[in-house]
This record gives sequence, C-alpha cells and structure tokens, in this order.
Amino acid sequence: MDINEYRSYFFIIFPPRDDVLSPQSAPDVVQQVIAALRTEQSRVEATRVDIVTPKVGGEVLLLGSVAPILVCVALMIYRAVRYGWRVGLSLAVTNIRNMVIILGLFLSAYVAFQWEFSLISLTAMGCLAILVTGAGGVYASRVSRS
Amino acid sequence: MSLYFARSTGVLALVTLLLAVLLLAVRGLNLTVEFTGGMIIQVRYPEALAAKSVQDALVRAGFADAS
Repeated sequence: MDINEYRSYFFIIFPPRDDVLSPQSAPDVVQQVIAALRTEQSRVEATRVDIVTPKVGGEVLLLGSVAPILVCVALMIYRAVRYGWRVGLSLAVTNIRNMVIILGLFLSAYVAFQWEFSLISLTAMGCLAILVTGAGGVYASRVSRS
Repeated sequence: MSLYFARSTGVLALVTLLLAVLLLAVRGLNLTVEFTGGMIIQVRYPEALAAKSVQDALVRAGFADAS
C-alpha cells in the first residue's frame, strides 16, 4: 500500500512503568495494544515503537544543555587570544548574563504556561541562547574597541 | 548611557534568573516522554479517524494511562 493512502497517524504514549520498560514484556504490551485497536478498526498498522528509559532521558536533558556552555567557553577563549585575557574574562561575564536572560525567559514561559518541554524545545532554547550570545558578543566587542 | 544599559540588563538577568528558579521549584517543567521515559507507539489508519475513538479503544482494553 502506498504511504499516501494512510489518512491518520496517532502517537500512543505510555508512562514509564515496569512492564513497558523491560525488554521482555514490552513486545507483549505492543501486541495487546494493536489487538485492542484491531477490534475498533481492522486495518491498523504500527509503524514505529520507541522505548525510552528514564536514565537515558535524563542524559539527553544533560547533553542538550552542554552546547550553550561550550559556546560561552569558545567565545571566551577567542576574545582572550585576540584582546587579552582581561577583556576575555570580562566579556565572558556579559555572555553569561545574556544567556541567563534568554534561558530564564524561555524556561519561565514553559513552566508558567505548562507547555510540553520536548527535545525540539530543548534544541530551540539552545539555538536561541547561542544566537543572542553571539549577537551580544559582536556588540560588546564593538563597544570595547571604540 | 552604556553604564545605564549594562546595569538595567544586569537587573533584568537577576530578575529572570530568580523568576525561572522560583517557577521551576514551584511548578516544574512539563517534560515529554523523551526525558521522563516510557513507550511511544506510532500507528496509522487508512481512514480518517478521531483521536477520541482510539483513546476509547485503549481505555476499554485496560490501557487507561496511555495518552
């Protein structure tokens, strides 16, 4: 069957329970779910099954926040080499301040409105923080030269 | 002008930091399956179908905690 003939896609999400997470019983759960959906509508097909353990999830959250920190360090090293370590250090403080503003606003919005914080949100947050820090860095090095 | 700008952004940074820490401590982030762990099953149907009917079928089969 051609892929365009499928009209509706659904994601069924299970919370982390023991029978869902263990590799022995997870296929049984999938079978039961498909069997249950077959009673409603016979032509159902599972296209993808992903299992995420809480440990891996925590590691993903940690890894995603490394990029902005690396950018801060790289910018500091660049300025320290180009303008001397005093300028590099003082502008690193500015970088951290810019990053704190963006991360604070972003996380506050997500918490206040209880939006779903997914991998895409994490990436967007990192990108935004890096962009703003870069723009602030360009502005700061212009001011310090004049 | 530059000093005023620096001071006001510094205050802004402090305020947003405190706000974020306070909100995170009180309410917490609404993390998805990618972080909390769990199982994601993607299914597809040839017909257009309401999400409600899929949910009902799952509840009838005893998977009430699935969403």
